[in-house]
Amino acid sequence: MNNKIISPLEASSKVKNSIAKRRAKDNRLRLYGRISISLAVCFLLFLFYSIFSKGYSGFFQYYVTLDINFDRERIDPKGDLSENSLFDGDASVIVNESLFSIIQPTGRKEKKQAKKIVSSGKDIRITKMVKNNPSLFGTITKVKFALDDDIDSFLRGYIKRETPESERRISNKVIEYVDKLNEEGRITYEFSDYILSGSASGNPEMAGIKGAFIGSMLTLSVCLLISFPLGIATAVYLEEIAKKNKITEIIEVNINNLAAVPSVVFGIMGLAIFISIFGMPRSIPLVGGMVLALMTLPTIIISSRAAIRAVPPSVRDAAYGIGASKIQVIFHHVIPLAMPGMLTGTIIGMAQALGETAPLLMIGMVAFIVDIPNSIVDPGTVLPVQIFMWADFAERMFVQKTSAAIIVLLVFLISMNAFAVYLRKKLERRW
Amino acid sequence: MEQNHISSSFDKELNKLNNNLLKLGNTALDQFEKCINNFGTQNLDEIKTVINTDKILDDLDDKVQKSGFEIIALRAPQAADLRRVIVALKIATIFERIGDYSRNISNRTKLLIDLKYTDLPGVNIGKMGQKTQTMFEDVLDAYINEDDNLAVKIRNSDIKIDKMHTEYYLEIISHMQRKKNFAPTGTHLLFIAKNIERVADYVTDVAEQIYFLVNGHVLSDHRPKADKTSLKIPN
Amino acid sequence: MNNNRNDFRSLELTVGDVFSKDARLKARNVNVFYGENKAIDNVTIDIGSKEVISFIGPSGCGKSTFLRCFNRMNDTIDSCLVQGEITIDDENIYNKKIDVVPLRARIGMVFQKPNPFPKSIYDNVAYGPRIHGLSENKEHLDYIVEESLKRAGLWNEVSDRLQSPGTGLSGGQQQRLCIARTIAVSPEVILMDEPCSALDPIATAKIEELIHELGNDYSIVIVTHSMQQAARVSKRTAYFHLGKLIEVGRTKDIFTRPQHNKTEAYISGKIG
Repeated sequence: MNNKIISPLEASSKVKNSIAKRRAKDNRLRLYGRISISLAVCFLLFLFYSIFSKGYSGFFQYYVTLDINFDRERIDPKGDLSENSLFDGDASVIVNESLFSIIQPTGRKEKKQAKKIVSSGKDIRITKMVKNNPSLFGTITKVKFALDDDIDSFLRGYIKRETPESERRISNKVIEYVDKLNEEGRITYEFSDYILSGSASGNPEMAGIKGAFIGSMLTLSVCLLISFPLGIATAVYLEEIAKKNKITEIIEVNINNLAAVPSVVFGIMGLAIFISIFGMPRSIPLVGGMVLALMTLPTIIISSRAAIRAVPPSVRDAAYGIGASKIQVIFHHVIPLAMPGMLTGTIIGMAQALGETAPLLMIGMVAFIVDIPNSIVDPGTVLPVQIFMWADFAERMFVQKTSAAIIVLLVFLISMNAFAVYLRKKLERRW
Repeated sequence: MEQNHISSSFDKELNKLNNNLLKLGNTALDQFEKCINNFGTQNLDEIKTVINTDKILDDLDDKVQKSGFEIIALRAPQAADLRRVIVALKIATIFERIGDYSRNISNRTKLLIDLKYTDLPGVNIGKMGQKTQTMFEDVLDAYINEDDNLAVKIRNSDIKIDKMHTEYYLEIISHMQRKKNFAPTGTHLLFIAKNIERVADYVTDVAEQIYFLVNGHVLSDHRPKADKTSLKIPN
Repeated sequence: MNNNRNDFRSLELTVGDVFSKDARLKARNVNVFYGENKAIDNVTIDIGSKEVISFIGPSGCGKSTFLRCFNRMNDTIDSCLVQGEITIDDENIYNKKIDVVPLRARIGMVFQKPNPFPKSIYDNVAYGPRIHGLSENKEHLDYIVEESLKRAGLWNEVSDRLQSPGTGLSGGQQQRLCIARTIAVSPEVILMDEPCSALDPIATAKIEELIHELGNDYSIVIVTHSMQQAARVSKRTAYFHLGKLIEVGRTKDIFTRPQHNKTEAYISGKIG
């Protein structure tokens, strides 16, 4: 029998002997941790770098400066700046004239090619300018026009001179013209005024995310307005009012499972119920918002329930003890104290919803919609879907624009999460 | 009592205890004063009053014992509070005993009147009584003011009473040996003198308790004693 | 052993005077179960008006459980079942028709850990009067708040910062705030569940002094695991052991000459 009580002296020396091994183990663990974190940070930095370096150029594009003769009779024949009048006008001809005066194409073929140099939105630009500033009439003013996407790609170096002409999208002549314009210093690389203010367009140089952005905002608003009150009310009911029995247990399990369901399933459900059965129109933010709300509800309910559970029972005791009714306890004490957690959960849910593509694809918010939606029943699309569509298009310039749109989306997601953190800090009350 | 306790009811209980104790002490002093006077004046009515008043002392002592006991049970007093309560309980018992002696002296005075006693020169009961009374008055002051110096002085003056007692004892014994029919009177006188000496001893006890109350420990040196009556056989 | 047991039968007799002449609350044959577990076994006791009575006993003897019966706080626990009768002014508070909300304004409670609402000091005290509609206008409400804080001995310390959060006060101050909150609704009875166990000795002494003053106006039932506190603070003491009420009597008598040997054993520290 070797068992004996260890004396303090013995114990002391035994501890001392083992300490070296223990320290070594601790230090190894610490080292592994540091290595993992460094690796993770490196990947993160790499990821951000690739996104931003690609997308940065999407915010810029090439412009050409031309001198435009703002001839009223030709731009606004009726003289009243009405839509009809401007439509009848010859703004694009004036622009081409100015261009031709510089590059001087000869022959119909060359002129046809030359016309394609400036972006097809040239007449809209002119008419917009005169509408805002009628005093331009009768002047000769320098105006910047966006260059066609092929020219833009060429200038960026994606379309190379070295490639044989038959395999290139632009002809040698056009390259000559572009060089000419460049020599005269008329070509500039500037911050694009289309990317943020333009909406979807077949022409990459004019394409922007504004439409998708507004669509996202509308859809998210619908989602928030439906899921926030419903989610909070459900959480309050399940935590505070409902009796704890088999039924509530089953409900809890189901809600937890719903949070893990792939979002495309909600899209299918939206398609089947909202669109097929209720006959609601496709591709409108209202339906999109409803589908997203279904998806976000479990998240909100779960985080709200956790927030409610975190309210200490002493506050409830105090409130009941003073003679508050159940509803008063819930609304005067529990909800205000749980609100930071609830809001954080909601914002995180919203951030998730902002980035959702699959369910919205299912309900058809993938249509090519040029007009910016004005209300929740106007057809629209959302940012992630827009990105998805652009990624599909052939034109090279869409690559930049897609990356730029991704950056915008990321910025939004990060700000929403940062806002959630800020809100939580601000609203947290000590108890 | 310097600072008040946070609990005002505790202060009230302590004050009640103190007040009852002082009432007890003053009444005992009063009784003693009266019984010494009555020895001189031989006023029978006054003597009877003193004998009957003794009951009040017993009641007051009961009150003090009861409140002291309750304070210890309910308040668990510490430090000076504890000493005050314990000392109060001890002193109350002493005052009650002093009261008993005053009653005893009064009873014997009555008998002396019947025996038609007149002053025996050399035995000045009145003087001994008054000196003791002064000690008693001083000790009450010492208690109220928690004056340990006065307490030590009182304790040291007990020796004078002891000396007087020894003197009177020898005088009375020698007179009894000379005149055989003086024996009954002499016996009562002896007892009266002894009682007064005992009262002085008790007052000294109180003084020692007061010293303990103030300082937290007893007086280290021995009390000076000069009562040799139990040590010598007179011839 | 003088028990007036002519009206209620009990298996084991409680020693001492369970009944009071002018009882505010009367408990008769109360049993409390937590699921299968019997926590309180056939307890009968009166709570007199304007008296401070303390419930003492070892851990787990059921004194807190019994206390919570008086304001039906046990209703908030699902597994808890209360049998028997508890009456205030001869009305059984466990009657189905009784609304528990006004009951809790008449019988207030102070808890073990100070739990002021995470609101301002003013709002803490004003909450009760607000929800029960006790004040007529803002001025009246201000008056109620001031009076309650004064009676709780807190006014001098907080009168210049009524809008600051209640949770920013020290432990003893928080507990006094909770007391002020309770008396703001003018209760008749105040139940205190180990109100000082989370406080230091000085704060405890201050609260005990406060309880002593409040005892002149309210019936106070205080559960305490400190016998010394019961000895200091209450006029009547009830000793509980394993869910049974063993002895009730004047505090002086319980602590100097208890009648039941179990009481004696507990008081002198002979059992846990």
